[in-house]
Amino acid sequence: MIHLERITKQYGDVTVLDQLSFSLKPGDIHGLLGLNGAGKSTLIKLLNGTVEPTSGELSIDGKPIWLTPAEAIRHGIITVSQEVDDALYLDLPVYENVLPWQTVKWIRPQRLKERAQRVLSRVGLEVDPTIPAGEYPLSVKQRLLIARALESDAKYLLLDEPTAALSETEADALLELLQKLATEGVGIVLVTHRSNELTRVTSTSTFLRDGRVVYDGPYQSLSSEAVQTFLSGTTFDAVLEKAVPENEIFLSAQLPLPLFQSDISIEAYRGEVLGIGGLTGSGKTELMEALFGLSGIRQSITIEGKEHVIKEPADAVRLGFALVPEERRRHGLFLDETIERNVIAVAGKTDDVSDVLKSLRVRYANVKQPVSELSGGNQQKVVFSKWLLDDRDIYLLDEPTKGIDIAAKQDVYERVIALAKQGKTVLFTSSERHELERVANRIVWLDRGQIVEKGGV
Amino acid sequence: MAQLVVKERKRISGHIGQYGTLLAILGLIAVFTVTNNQFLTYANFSDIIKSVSIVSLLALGVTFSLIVGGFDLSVGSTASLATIGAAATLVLHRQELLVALLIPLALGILVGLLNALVTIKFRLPDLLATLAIMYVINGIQLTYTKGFSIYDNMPIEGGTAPGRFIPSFLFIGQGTIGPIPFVALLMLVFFIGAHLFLTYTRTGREFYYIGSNAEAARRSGIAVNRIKLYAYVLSGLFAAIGGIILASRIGTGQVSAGAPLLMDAVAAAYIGYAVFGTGRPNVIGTLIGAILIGILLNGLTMWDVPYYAQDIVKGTILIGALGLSYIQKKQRT
Repeated sequence: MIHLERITKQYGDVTVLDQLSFSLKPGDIHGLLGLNGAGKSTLIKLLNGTVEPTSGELSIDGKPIWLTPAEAIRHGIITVSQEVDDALYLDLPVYENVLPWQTVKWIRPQRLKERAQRVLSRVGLEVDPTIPAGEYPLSVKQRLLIARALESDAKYLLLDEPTAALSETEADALLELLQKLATEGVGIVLVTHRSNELTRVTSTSTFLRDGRVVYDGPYQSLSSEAVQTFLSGTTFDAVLEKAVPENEIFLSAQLPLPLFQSDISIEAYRGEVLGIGGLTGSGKTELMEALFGLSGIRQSITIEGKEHVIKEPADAVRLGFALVPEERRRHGLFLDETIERNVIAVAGKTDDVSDVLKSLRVRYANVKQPVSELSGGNQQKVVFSKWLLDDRDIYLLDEPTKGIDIAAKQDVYERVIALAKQGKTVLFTSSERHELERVANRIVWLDRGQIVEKGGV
Repeated sequence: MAQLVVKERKRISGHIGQYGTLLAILGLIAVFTVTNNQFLTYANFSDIIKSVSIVSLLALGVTFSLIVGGFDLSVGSTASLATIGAAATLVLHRQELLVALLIPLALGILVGLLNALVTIKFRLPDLLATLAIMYVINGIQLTYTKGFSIYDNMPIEGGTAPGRFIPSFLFIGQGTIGPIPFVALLMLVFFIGAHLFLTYTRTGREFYYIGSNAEAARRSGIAVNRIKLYAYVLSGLFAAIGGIILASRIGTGQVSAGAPLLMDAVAAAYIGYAVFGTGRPNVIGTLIGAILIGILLNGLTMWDVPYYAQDIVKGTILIGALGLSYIQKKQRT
C-alpha cells in the first residue's frame, strides 16, 4: 500500500496540495477526480516521484520513503501518461517497446519477440510485434505501455485520463483489462471525467478541489448533484437556452473524404449549432478538415449560394472559417509563445485579448505568461479564443470539450450558443450524444465516413 | 503547477544568460585592454566594428532562417559568391556602383530561392539541404574564377582588366561618416529594421509562429511556405550584403572569402538565444553575439594566436552557445 500522510506541496507562495492524505491499496481501482488545476496531476507526480513534497510523509507498506523517479519504478509504480507518444519509441518495433530495456541483457530478436508476444496477450493485444509502434492507433499504444509496465513488475499503475481519446468500445476494453489487472493485485489510480467509468470499475474514489480532499469513498453512492458539488462547489444548470437558426441555408457542401472513399453532404444555417456525432475514427475530424482545406484535395463549398474552392487552410480562413482542432497541442497551440501571442495569431490585434479570455472564463495570471503554463482546459480555451478575437462566420469545433473538466465544458457550451445567437454557424463534433443534445439544433451521426443518422433535437 | 518551479529556475538562468553575455563582453574588453595597449584605441575599435558588421549580417540571415524553424548553412558561400560577383562586375566588366551592388544582391536572392526550393518544395531537411547548397555555391564561385582572386589591374587575356574597385564602392567598407565607420551605421539600420519588423509587424510575428508550431500556424491561415521562402531569401540577401561589404573592405574579390564567416555567424545567432533569456532566436541577441565574437577574435589576433588556432576557440564557443540554448529550451518545455 502506498500512503500519503498530510502532504503539502507549495510552489513559491502557491499551495497546490494542502495537507492531503491518500492511500492506494493493491487490488483497488481508485478513481481520482477534480477540475483542471485541482491538483490531480501533482498528486500523480508525487506518487511517481517526479515531484517532491514540501511537507508531509510518504510511505510504502508502512515504511517511510523518499521517492525519486527511479525509486518509484523500483517499487513497481508505473505511470501511463496521457501523452503516450512521448513514452514510446515510435519508429522501433513493438517488441522493443514493450520490453523494458533494463530487463534485457542480450538482444536476441527471436527470444525478445516471443517474450513480447506473451505480455501482449496478457493485455489482450494481437498485433505483429515486428511492426513499428507508431503505426498503431492510440488505443493500442496505451496497451503497449501497460504491457511494458507489467513486464517491469508493476504493482501500482497510475493512469491519467486513459480513456479521454478512446472510442466507447476501446474504453470498455481498456476498463476490462484494468479490472483484470486489479484482480491480479495491481493497485490502480484512474483519472477520468466520465462518470459511467467510475461507477463501473472503481472500488473507491477521491475528489480533489483546490488541493484538498473533499470526498474519499465509493463513487457509486453519490448522486450526480453531489458529484458536481464536490468537484466545483456549485451545480450547473442542465438546460441551456439554444439559439434560433435562420431559415435560409448558409453553407452547403458535398465533401469527398479520400480516407473513407466516401462523400458527405452537409448544410448549415446561420445562427445554428450543427452537432456532428460519431465515435473515434468515424470521420468527424476528416469532415472538419475537409471543410478547412486540410484534406489534401480541392473541396468546393457553397456559401450563400456562391461556390468557392478551398484547397488549403488559408483559403478557408479567407472565406470566414475557423477551426479549433482536436489535437490542440500539436495543431492548435504555439506552446513556446505567450497567451497573448497565441490569441492574436489570427486577428493580429491586441486590444480585446483579455475580454475574449474573460468571456470564456480562462484562468490565467497574466497574458504575457507562456501558454504552456496553463492547464489543459484553459489551453483549449486559448485555442478557441484565437478565433473569437477575429470575426468569423463559420466555427468548426472539433471535439472542443475533449479532456477538459465539466466547468470548462460548461463555459464552452455557453460561448458556442452565444456565437450562434450572434448569427454565426457552428459545427460542433463530439463522441457523446448527450453533449450534442445540450448544445446543437440538429445532429448528424457519422460512421465510417458516412452519415448514418440525421435529426433534430 | 510544476512549471512554476521551472519558471523560477528559467528566470535565474535567463539572467545568467542575459548578464552573462554582456559581462563576457566587458570582461573580454578589460582583459584585452590590460594585456595589450593597442586594444583600446579608436583604430582598433573601428577595425572590430568593420569585421563585426560583416559577420553580424550573415548572422542576421541565419537568425531569420532559425526563427522559422529552418537553418541556413549556405550564408558563408553566398557571401563569397557576392564578393566575387561585385568584384567581377567592377573589375572585369567595368560597371558602375549601382550594377556592382545589384548583381551580388540578385545572386543572394537567387541562392535564397534555391534554398527555399530544396527545403520547401522538395521538403529536404533544412540543415542538410543548405549544406549541399553551400557546396554548390562555393563550387560555382570557384569555377567562375578558376580559383583566382579578382583585383585591380589583374592580368587577363590580352592585357589587364579594364575596370577597378571604384572609390564609391570602397566607401561602403572603408568610409566613415564623422568618426563612425559607414558600415556601423549600415549594420545598425539593418538590425533595427529587422528587429522592428519581427517584433511589431503582423508578418514578422508570423515568422515566430511558424518556428513555434508550423502546423498550428498553417491552421491559423498563415501562409507557411511563403513566409519560409521570405526567410531564406532574406538570409541570402543579408549574406550578399555581407559579401559586398567584405569585397569593399579588402578591395579585392578573394575566392571563398566568406567561408570562414559561417561558423562565426552561426555562433553569434546561437549566443543570441541566450542573451535575453528567451532561449529563442532574436535579432538583438544575434547582434550582441556577433560583437562578442568580434571582440574575442580581435583580441586573440592581438595576442598573436594564429588564425587556424582561433578555430579551436570558435568551435568551443559554438558548443557553449548551443549548450546554453538547448538547456534553456529544455527548461521551457
